[in-house]
Amino acid sequence: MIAAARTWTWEQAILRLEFSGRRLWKGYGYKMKKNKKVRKVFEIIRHYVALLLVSIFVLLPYYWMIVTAVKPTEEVMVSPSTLLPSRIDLSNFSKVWSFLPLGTYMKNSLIVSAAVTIVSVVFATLCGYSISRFIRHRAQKGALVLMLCTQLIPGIVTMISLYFIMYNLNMNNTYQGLIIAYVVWAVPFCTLMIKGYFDAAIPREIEESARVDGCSQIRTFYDICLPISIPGIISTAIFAFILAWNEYMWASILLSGDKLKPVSVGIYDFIGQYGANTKMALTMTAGIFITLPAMIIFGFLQKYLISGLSAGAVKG
Amino acid sequence: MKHKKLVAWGMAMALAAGLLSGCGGKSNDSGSGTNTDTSQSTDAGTQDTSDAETSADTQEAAGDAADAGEKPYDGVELTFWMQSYGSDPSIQRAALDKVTADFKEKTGITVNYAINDWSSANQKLTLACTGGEAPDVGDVFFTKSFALMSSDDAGLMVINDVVEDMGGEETWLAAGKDEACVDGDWYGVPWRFDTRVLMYNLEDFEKAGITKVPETWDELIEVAQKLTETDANGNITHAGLAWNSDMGRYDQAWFSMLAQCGGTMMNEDFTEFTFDSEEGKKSLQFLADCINKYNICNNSLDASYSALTEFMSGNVSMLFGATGENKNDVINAAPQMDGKVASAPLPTATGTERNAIAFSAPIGIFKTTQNPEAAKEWVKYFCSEEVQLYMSQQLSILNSNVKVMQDPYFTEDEWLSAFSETALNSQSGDMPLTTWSQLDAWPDGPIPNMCAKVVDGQDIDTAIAECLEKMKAIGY
Amino acid sequence: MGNSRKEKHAGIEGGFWDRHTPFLMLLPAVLAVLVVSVYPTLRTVGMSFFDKSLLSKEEPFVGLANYAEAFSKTELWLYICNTLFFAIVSLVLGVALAMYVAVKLIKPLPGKGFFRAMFLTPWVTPPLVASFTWRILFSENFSPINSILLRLGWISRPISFLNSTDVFLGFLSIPLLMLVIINVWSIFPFLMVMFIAGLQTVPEELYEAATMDGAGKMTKFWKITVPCIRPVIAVSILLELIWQFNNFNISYMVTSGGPLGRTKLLAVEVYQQAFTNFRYGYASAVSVIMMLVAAIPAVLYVRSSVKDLQ
Repeated sequence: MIAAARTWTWEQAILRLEFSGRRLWKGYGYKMKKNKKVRKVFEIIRHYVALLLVSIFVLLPYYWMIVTAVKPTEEVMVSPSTLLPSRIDLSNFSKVWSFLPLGTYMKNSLIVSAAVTIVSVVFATLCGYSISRFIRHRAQKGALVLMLCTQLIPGIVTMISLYFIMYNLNMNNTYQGLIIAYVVWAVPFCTLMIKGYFDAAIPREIEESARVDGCSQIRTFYDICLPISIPGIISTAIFAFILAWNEYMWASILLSGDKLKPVSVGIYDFIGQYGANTKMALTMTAGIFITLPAMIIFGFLQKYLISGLSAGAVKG
Repeated sequence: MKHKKLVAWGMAMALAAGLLSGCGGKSNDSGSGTNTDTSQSTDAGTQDTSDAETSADTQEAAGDAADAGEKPYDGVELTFWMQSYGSDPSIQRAALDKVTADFKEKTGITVNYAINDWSSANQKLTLACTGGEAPDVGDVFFTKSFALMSSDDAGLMVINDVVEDMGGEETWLAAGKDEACVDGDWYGVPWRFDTRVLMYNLEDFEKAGITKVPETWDELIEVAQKLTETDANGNITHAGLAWNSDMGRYDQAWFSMLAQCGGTMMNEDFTEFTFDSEEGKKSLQFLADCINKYNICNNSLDASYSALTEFMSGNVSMLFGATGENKNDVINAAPQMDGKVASAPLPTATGTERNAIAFSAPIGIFKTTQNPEAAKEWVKYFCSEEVQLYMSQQLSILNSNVKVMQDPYFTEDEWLSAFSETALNSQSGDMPLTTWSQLDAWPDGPIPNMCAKVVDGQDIDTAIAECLEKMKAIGY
Repeated sequence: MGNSRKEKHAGIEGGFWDRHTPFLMLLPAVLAVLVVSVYPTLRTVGMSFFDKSLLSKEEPFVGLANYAEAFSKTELWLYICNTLFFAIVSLVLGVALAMYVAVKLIKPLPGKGFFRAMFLTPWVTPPLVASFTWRILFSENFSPINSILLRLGWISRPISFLNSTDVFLGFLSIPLLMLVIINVWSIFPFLMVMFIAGLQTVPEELYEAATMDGAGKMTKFWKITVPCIRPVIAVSILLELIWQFNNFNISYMVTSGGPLGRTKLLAVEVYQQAFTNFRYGYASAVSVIMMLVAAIPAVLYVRSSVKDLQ
């Protein structure tokens, strides 16, 4: 083995540790080294045990959200806390709707996120396609560098002046103010994602033959390239949607009226900076409701995300 | 080449700027359309209604056919900002829905309210006073700061006439005038009132055989020691006392302590801070000693720590500095505590000083309003005794109006009577400085920072010195 | 090549518009970015030389005074250290966890899709919800973690995860470490997706050949996997580093920077200076400092991406 051939003592020590650890872990399985099937079974068990451990870490907050939400009220503020509810009490799930205008917030979030998704995908697809196909040109090269560079600007730097700009244009307290900003924050990464996809997954030959057949640029793009780029577009859309759905800082700066607030700001404002501690159960219930929509959408589209990315978009 | 590029960039900017401003312009137009209409109708019959409404009595106004028929502000829309109160926001919305609907029926004025959270309220009101987006009428605090910030065309309007119409300064508790009146000019009509009391767990008191609620600091320590339980290592497992703090914020608990040993934050002209004094040090020492020396009080700068939740879970027997709504908070979140929550005025150093700090908050009108007269109608209606009593009950808050506070609802309620009592023996909690919101900003303003350092066990003299230095840098 | 062909067809296809289609396609995105991102950024940089504040009517030019003030405060150095530590450590841990999981989830074993979908959930959980929940998970008295440990008898009194103000190395505190854990939880799904996407492009034959040569698991990982997906790793790490450097939500929503500024990050400081204290000029200066500290990985990223291009 390559590693063993080296002479560093610490490495040997680690190897030895791993060796004995493995023996402990596998128990008698180690003795049956020759028996490949048994080894395989242990390997599989180990695989799932590892995934299970990671799952615990990942699911811990959700477990607690759900348990806190369904606990009868008198069991929530108990210390040390009980790990499971003594009975399931769903009253929080109806109470939360009267407690805060969750419906309005969700509607606002959906409108903003959907608009951001559509606009960013359109912008990013056009721009990404152009960059991907005409990278030798000066304008496209410039655009690429611009997209790379703007990803590096901390959002808060932009926000300070953007706030004044929006303010002077009377765009605070409007959906447009939110949408414009989110689109611009989503577009650079989306452009690079989709550009990578066009680079790697869509063969140029098809388009070139279309061009020879007399198709215009825009037709080639629209009729030939777009239909086969759906996975790439979906993964871009997911990214934009999540960005808009999760954003908090800008919305909290820009919006003061209750009517336009998206979920994150709405809940933060209503429950308050301090309220999360005292209104634990309702906070958790509201949390479940606002996590669900994104999670459902995501659950359906998850495989496109990975296929869209792996088709080449990940090169950046 | 370079030139060309520049031109392209310039064009790009211009184009996009045009696009943006186009959007903005449109939304602006649609918004102001209604306003121009209404401002014209405002001029029509200003005088009549203000007379008619002074009585603030629906029956009478409706009976007066001429006035009721006219409704000179019919169709006017006002925006009203309010902070969130009470433990359940839906109650506040329901109450406001009712009050605004009644008002609309009476005057034809539509009041569109927005409930702002406390964490953003200061920002929004500061912007509103300095030329930003402002409502017509708002629930204000730090009134003097905002009045000082206001300019000729933005900020809080002087509404001495409204105050006169409502019966002059005698209508409200002294704290109300302290807050709303600057150099003889009223910038708002006091409504909400807030002071701090001692909330305690009756059951714990009974178990420990305590019959008398502490009235001095020494008694407080003694009682808390009886209530505190520790494990073998001396770590508190059940605390007798907790400073009311959340996410490590101790400034307001300390303000009360300062009052309780006869100290003041500032001199009478509000030009110098005066807490670098015997009293100041004594109160900070008390804050720290209950934690470190007497081991009766949990301390925590932990963001997840809230004294109120500790009380709810029964980990704490006495909460120093509870607010009026805390009882409902406790019962809503921890129904098992029902019947165990009681209140008393806070103990003072020797039993003769002031019990706590108090806050009063007014409803103010912004100069940017298109309909000042309609706005005044709304303020008068909202601040009338009847509506205030209703709001106080709904939001479980106290009131600045003397008559409202004399209502049996306040005086005969066991929980609220401690507040009515403290209200008469308290001093102002907020200082009338433009930069007060920065000085007392949580978490890193100089004052909360100083209190947190003392709680953390750092040297008191250094903490005070640092605090004063930082306050100088900010300016006041 | 493409160019000449294009010109040939230009006559047929409406000339000007067709020729300029590629350029016009760039326009919406580029214009939007220039106007809404680049221009405000430049304005912020400009603002950092003025004493712009909501509380004073004048906006005097003060040169570098805002910067001098920022650097003279010991707190700023604490925030810079916090931010660097937070970004780098959560990135290292996040990458390690994401890679570990990605390698496992590329294997053709049942449940792959289920686990992938499950591990992605933190990404779609709004930071607000995640923060409030983790704050309770790390609370002294209401945390199920404490509850379990107490029940098991491993601890005799609840651990206070977010309370300690003791520092190591002048800045590092336990609450900051807790924030790192929360952040790892929230960033690893994105990295995992990127890595899985990258791993899928590694040809199976390479592994088979290596197995024939008798290479062990670790050898295969370091000699085949890592080199093959190096571009993916580089891009995700650099991007994520920049994003984490600008992270605002976790620090603001979980602890608001407390206790005593031990967990405060630069973005939170800028936000509080600008939108709590209304000192726009000073906040701009801090944000520019923040941008400059982030510039090192940023330049690396742009360079590697441009190199990739050529």
